[in-house]
Amino acid sequence: MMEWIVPHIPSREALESKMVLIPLFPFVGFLINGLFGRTFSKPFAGFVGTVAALSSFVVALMCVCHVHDTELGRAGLHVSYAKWLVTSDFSCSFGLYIDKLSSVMILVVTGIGTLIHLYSMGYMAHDRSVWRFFAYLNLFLFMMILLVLGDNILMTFVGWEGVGLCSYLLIGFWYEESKNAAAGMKAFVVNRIGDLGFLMGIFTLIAVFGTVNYVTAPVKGEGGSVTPQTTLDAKTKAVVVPQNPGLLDYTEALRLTYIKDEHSELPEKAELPKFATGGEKNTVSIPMSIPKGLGNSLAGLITLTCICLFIGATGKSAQIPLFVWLPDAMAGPTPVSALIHAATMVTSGIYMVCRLHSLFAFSETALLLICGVGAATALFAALIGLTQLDIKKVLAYSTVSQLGYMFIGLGAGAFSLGIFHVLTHAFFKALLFLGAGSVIHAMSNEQDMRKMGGLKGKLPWTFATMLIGSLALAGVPGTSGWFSKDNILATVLGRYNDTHNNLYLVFYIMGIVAAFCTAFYTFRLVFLTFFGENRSSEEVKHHIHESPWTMVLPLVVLAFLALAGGFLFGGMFIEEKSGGEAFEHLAIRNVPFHEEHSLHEAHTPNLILTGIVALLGIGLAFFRYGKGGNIPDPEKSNNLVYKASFNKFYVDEIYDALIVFPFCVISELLHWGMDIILIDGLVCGAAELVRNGSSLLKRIQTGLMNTYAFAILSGTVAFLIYLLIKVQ
Amino acid sequence: MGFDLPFNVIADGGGLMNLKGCLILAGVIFSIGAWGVVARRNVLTVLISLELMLNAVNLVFASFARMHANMTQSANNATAGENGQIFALFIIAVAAAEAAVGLAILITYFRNKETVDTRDMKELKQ
Repeated sequence: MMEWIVPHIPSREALESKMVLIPLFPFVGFLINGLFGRTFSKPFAGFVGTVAALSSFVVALMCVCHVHDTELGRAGLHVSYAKWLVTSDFSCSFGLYIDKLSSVMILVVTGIGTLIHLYSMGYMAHDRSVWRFFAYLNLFLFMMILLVLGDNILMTFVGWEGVGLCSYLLIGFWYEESKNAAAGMKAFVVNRIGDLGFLMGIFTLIAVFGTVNYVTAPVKGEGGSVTPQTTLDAKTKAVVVPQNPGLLDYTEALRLTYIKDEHSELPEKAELPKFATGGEKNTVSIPMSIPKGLGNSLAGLITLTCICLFIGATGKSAQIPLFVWLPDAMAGPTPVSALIHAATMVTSGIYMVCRLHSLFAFSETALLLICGVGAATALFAALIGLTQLDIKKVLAYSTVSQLGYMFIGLGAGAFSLGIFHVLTHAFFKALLFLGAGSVIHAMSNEQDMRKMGGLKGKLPWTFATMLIGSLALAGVPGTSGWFSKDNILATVLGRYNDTHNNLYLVFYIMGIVAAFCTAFYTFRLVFLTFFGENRSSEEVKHHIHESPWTMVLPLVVLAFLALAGGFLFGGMFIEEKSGGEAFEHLAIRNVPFHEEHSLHEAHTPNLILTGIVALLGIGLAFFRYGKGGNIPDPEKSNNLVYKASFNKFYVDEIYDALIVFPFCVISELLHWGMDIILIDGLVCGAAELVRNGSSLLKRIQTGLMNTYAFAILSGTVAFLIYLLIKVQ
Repeated sequence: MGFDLPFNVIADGGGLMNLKGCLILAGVIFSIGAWGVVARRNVLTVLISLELMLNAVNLVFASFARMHANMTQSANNATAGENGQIFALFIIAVAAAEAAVGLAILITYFRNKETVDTRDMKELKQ
């Protein structure tokens, strides 16, 4: 196929001039629907939105073909459009940048985005304001593209905030119900907390490296480069960085200076070295120094930066402790849950960590923290997922849990596997959500699994595709989900073999237990929904129907990808040995193992273990729910653990008691003490003073001439008397 | 009081006139005028009272001018006391002009509003 594609790829210059179309199409779609959508018919509004997404996908596909083609060179596509912030020693611009890493994300965003737009045309067909929905979806796509393609971390941050806004708008899309509006608000506020960490990380980056650009700015006519342009001079053994180096150039320089093969951490006393720039005069040193007041340990500062950035990622990617917003976000329409809250937006935290993976690789502490938080989240959310009754809630907790797996992968140093799991998860979770949407659509908006059952005959397409998605989510060997999850867990076990750090073993066991829970709750969902007797009311039963083709087509495409994605793309992400495939295909350098065979030894036991727990989970689910009749009823259960899981371990209640309630009390106090008494007192008091004073003074103006004459006279007399007294 | 006035030096054809009496007279007239301006409601009366005040001042000017002329008589100064008399003449001229303008305004006002009572003249207050 490549032989046919390569000659048809436009030249680099042509692509760079067209690259702006990728974000522009969704933005124009947003403007058209947002400004004139009110007058459109419902199918036409959906058509506009879908075409915008599809066009963006086509342009993105051309760019990605170019970036991944070895013949056309390793250079990525990089265009700077305008200066944005310029000061004497800091500047950043509006630029788009596609390298091998962002090309994976951009295909997920626009590709799955297009499918979900198509699906929404069917799903939202009966809604009152279709145009508003598609306007928001297109805006989301635009912001997500900015996040992925921005050539500096500030652009990424703009996209980051933008997708947060769209998430808020779409969760509260049916704002007439205050429950939905509250869920949107919760998502927004919880994300803000994470964003503070992200901002702190950016500030630290600026303080230490003095730049926010990922790579050096593109040269006119030559374009930019995918990989950092820092090189090691073969003769002099000196590290040479390009003019105006970006963050990745700096990290590469640090790596070449300090990291020998067997280490992944910066030495304690590492300093920012002075590098020579490239070009003819290659001895110009770059003034790069740690500002006073930030301590003098570069290693410590990098750890701090990484942890700050990771706090940002926990917000957007729903990790402990900031995961609480994601399950509530299911209040939005189902396509939104699929696109934003499963496939793309929640993975932006993983993307951001991968974007700066060379920085994270320096800090073992930060990686260990990421791994631990990921493992805890994966297990915790899987446990909650075991007992949920709402079909979308189960999938929501499963998303949180799978995001935890991605962070386990990142924390174990296998950045490429984290991205791989983003990709496969996007396939099967979007599929599951859309399938769930199809079920909900058929069941007249019923989401409680207790009232479903026996749908496999009535919704054959939905059933078949959701079964495939469930197999992938459960991690049955051969499916895409198995490829990524199995390799992530193998890396963790490999890390344990490599470093003998017991923490990795703990994380591994947590991951395995979570995998078991995943298999169980996934098939609990399948059995409760599709098998047994139908438990809905007669009226609902009467309306059950398979969805229209616009909804089924995306399901089929996604089911194919969920099934075969591992075989199709696995080779790009899974490494046989350090610095192999991931660097070749993604320009990602995973953290190397001390001894290469640690990973290989981990593969076989891990393969057996993950296979067993997946089948065990499915078997147990079949045993409990497969025959029908055994309908969970948490109200009657006396099991404390079951009750705790059903009530989400009371996390929301604990947050309410510990944070929200004191916060409200303090706000109320400040509202009365500061706002009403002090500030309003001052402002209104000043106005009151002037008014009272002038109402006193206005009595002087009688309008009676005689009074004025008397005033003049008495004034003169008083003045004369004063003069007389003074003279004496 | 701080003034040491030579009250007995106003001479008129050899006879002495009392400066003190002149000043008291002027004060009384001035006070009557001031009272008229402050207390009377009829604008016409007010204008008349104003004239009284002006003329009281004239009287003071004239008296002091005379006093100065007498005091410097021995020095054979032909122009002594001239300033005060010129001022009095000026005031008469200005008062005539003021009366003409004031009365003209008053007549016009009366034609429009049919009143000359100061209590009704409150348009500027609103």
